[in-house]
Amino acid sequence: VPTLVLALIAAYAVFFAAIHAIVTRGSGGPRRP
Amino acid sequence: MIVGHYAAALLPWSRLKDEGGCPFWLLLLSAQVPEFLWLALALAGVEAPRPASLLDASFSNIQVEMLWSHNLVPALVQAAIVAGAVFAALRRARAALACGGLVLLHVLCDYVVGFEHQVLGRDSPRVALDSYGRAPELAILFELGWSLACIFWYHASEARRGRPVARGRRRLLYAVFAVGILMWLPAARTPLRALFGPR
Repeated sequence: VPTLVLALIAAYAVFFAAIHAIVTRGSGGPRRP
Repeated sequence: MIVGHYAAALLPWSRLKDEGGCPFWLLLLSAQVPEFLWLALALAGVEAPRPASLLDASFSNIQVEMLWSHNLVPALVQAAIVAGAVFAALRRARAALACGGLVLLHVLCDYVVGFEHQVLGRDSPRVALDSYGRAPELAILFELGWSLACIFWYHASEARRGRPVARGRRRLLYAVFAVGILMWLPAARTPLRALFGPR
């Protein structure tokens, strides 16, 4: 079993979700006038 | 480079957010297209790393040929395909350029922080430093520096646009990248089995 590749897939998924959540949570969208 | 690629997605985000129409997840995805292609090819046995076991692998002992996913010419093709697909879907030239650029930036970063890569085939000129093989600790620290610089740029860019990011979220973003990058440091030269296994 290629556990190295599976571990990397898990790491990429976890950090994708975490970074997306931090950056977009409360994000105001386009600049307010 | 592993998690550090995600930091590149922050570079165009402030400007694209102003214009609207380009979701952040698309930038994150574009920043990792060559990596996700490699993972798919690795699972298919085409670009499989050796050793295959997480316990036996360290940055300095992994042997892998990423001919299709990370060599320069295939990466240019990937960038063109991604830019074309994004333009077809969103009809926004700047978003398409950003996504294609992130694909190309991915491999350029990996030529500094990563394995050996070539222009096209395995016998073509080398374009990468093979820093994982030569100085993996330095490579990981360089990835950390790159990521922190991208985050700093993003926060400054948001502040310039009148949307300063709250201190708590700023710190959290720095912390997530620091953890995601530094957690690999113990495995720079020593496989996990040697670190934690029976002696």
